[in-house]
Amino acid sequence: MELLAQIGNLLIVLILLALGYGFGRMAESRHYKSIIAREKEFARLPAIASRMPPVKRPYHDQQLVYGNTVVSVDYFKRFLAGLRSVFGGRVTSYETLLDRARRESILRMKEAADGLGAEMVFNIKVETASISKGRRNAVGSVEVLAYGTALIPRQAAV
Amino acid sequence: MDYQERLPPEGINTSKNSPLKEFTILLGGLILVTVVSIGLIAMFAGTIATYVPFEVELVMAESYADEGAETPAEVAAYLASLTEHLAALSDLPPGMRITMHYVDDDMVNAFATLGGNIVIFRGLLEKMPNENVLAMVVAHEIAHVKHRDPIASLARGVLVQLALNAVTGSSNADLVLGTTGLLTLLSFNRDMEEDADEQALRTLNVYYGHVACAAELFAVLHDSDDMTNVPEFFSTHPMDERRIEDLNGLAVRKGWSTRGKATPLPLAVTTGFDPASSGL
Amino acid sequence: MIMTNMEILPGRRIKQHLGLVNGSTVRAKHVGRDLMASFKNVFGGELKGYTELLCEAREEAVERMKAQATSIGADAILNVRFSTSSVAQGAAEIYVYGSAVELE
Repeated sequence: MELLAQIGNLLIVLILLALGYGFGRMAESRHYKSIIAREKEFARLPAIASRMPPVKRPYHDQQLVYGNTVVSVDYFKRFLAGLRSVFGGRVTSYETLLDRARRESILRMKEAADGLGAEMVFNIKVETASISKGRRNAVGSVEVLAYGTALIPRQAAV
Repeated sequence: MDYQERLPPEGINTSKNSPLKEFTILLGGLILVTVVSIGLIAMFAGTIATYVPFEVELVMAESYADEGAETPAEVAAYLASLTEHLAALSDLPPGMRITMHYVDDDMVNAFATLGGNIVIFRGLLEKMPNENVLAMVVAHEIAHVKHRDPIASLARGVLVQLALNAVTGSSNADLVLGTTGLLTLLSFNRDMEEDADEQALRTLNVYYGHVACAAELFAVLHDSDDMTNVPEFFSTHPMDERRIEDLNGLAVRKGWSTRGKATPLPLAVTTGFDPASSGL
Repeated sequence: MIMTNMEILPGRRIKQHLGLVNGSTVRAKHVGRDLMASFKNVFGGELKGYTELLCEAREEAVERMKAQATSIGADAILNVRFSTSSVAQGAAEIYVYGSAVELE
């Protein structure tokens, strides 16, 4: 009966919502802890959005570095965003998602720069793209790319 | 010029409100708005539909009504005469006529559709213990026609579907909207059934002088129904127990006698079923 | 709070760079705006509803960036860049970022 099918669908949705909420919250809080810890650690490697590097210290090697992250939307967030798009307003469920993705990308870029022995990363730019925006039954995910030029102090000539 | 990194505090780019709270508020709001608007659309559709003249219904019904398999002549004649008698006593508006169709199928069902056409299945006929219960069925379907329920349901269904399509084309919450719409329509359905029950009881009282055995119909249906565990909120008809209660209450209020002699079905009907074709 | 998308502030000297500050919002449209947009799809013209929506979102994102800059003691934000992206069906993210500096 069509009605039973509807009720069945409803139950499946409720289960997915519960799973999405539970696991989503857990993953998010874990990720944030890791991000905050690593940001403190990498505060020694500033990321600057300016274009002109410091001219007083010309002895730098430079290298383009980047970091990217793809974060997936969980079912609960997607459902909440769908409800929100009926009434309009701030989609708070996506704010944390993008915040995490951005900070993670910048950290990965810094890690790459650190690997090269850089002192700071200059002219950083951030690009956000949505991968398969969440068509029905398609995975909805967001990619953030952060890139910049790492300034590596040249070893003084021996 | 010194280069330093100072970390801003948390919480500027994110909102502090709890997602669960937001979820319940938005969902509750959506359901409320949907129930109210669908309710209004359904009411509007139902009322407008009753202004469509009955003659138009007859024309609409002609295009898809067909006679189906051959029906045993005696059964058909008996049913036709019973229908005519009950229709005459049902206070029908002028110009409305009822046509009875008998379908030789196991399904335990009877329904009224456009143009005053009533269909009754062999499966239901076989279960009738006496004529009074059968008369209750026929009178109930006649009541649906009298209240213009077939065209009202059609109009409601179509308009609600249109409204939902217009909105869900542009939003993601269509599961919520679809289910809420369906449940609202079902509630309208249940109201129609209650009204038909009342009118049928009235007709029965005039025809027989009493309303004994009318409530037996629901006991019969209850026994032959597999779906008795569906809660009333999700079903198209009120619960059988409630229908029995309502009818008994109505009979008491109107002073109709619930005791009387049950009229047996004519032999032609009870023996008119070939056991070989019953599909047992 | 001074905001500019230039490298330098003519006439002012920069004491210290304080790193990156950013502000972002994700906003969704409501069904009303969407229905009007569908009509406009037939007749053409500016989608004033959406323009308003994105304008408000951009203002809020800029406010958030300024709040971050103030909280770390900055006087100006240089090299401000905007970025808009669609992150879900019917929702757009406005992201603005720049370099926070302390002026002399």
